[in-house]
Amino acid sequence: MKRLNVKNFNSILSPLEEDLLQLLWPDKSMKVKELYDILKKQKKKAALSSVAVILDRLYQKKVVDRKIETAPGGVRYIYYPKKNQKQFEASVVENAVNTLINKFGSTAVNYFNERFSKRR
Amino acid sequence: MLHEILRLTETFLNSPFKMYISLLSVLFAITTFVLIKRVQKNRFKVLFIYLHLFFLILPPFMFAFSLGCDMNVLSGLISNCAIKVTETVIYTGIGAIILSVLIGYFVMPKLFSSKNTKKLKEKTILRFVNKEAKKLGIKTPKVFLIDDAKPDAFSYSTISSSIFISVGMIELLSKKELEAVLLHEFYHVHNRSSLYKFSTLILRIFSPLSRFASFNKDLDDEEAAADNFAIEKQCTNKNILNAKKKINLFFSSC
Repeated sequence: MKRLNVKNFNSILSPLEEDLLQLLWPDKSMKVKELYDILKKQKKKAALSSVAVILDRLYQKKVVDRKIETAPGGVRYIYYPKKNQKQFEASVVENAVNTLINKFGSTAVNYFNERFSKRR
Repeated sequence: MLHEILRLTETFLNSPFKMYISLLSVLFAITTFVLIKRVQKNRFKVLFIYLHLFFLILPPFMFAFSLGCDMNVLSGLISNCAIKVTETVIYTGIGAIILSVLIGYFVMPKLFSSKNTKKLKEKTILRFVNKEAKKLGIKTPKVFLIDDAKPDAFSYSTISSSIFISVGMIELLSKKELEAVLLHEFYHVHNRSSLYKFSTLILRIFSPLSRFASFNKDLDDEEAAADNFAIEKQCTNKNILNAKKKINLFFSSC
């Protein structure tokens, strides 16, 4: 799967966010501990609490969703992607375009028109 | 009207019996306030808080009623003031008890349940809570699960007791560390810490003497005692310390 590389927008995702999403895409469901164990095997430095924090952050950003699983010995979240990679990339682009239009108004719109007419 | 009030005030102040009761009340109010800080157990602290408030409001209460009674007798509107006073005290007392039961049993659980909570169904945790409640000789508190990734645990005890614990807390900690946190909350349930905290709030609102004392140290001591309770039960401080470390690490990563 192609890794995200969006340097132009000053880190849309932190490295750990990207690593976790790469593990969950396209449609896997995993627990915090499972994701932490995989990252550990890949020799990526991250504490269990950091993985939990990042997954919660992705949940708040509505990139992933979660459900509670009650099993013998405990209760845990199962995280799964709300958007696949294509949908996520589309939402990033949409947010970026909306930000430019809100900030620069007609200048941004004219630029996009010129740019897209040249591509044709 | 004002002249009448001033005259009746003078009558009140010149009544040896009423002044004696008022002075005794103030003395008891000061004594009970000192005792709040001296006793160890929360149930006695709470008792002294409400006794202090009672003795504090008794003199103005007596003054207001004597004023009312005298004026009513003078105007001839109400003939039997003593019955009115007794009725008011009884209805207020019964009303306060009923309100406390309603708040403790119905309102408080609803207030806390609104925080994305539902009853915990996980058997291992429930078995542990049941076992520890039996050891302490208290009614098993209800355990609620908070749907939140942040590690959180708290309890309250009014008519019924409840412990709240978040999914994040259960995910983050090992079995023994989680038990340490639950034992910490058990201490608060057994010691009626939430009732004491609520009572100090009432005290701070209604008692001018509370300006001269701080209850923050009491609450810190309460937390330390709850940790010590967990350490004593598990015969090690490793679990409670590791739990705190993991919780702090979580929040420092946010």
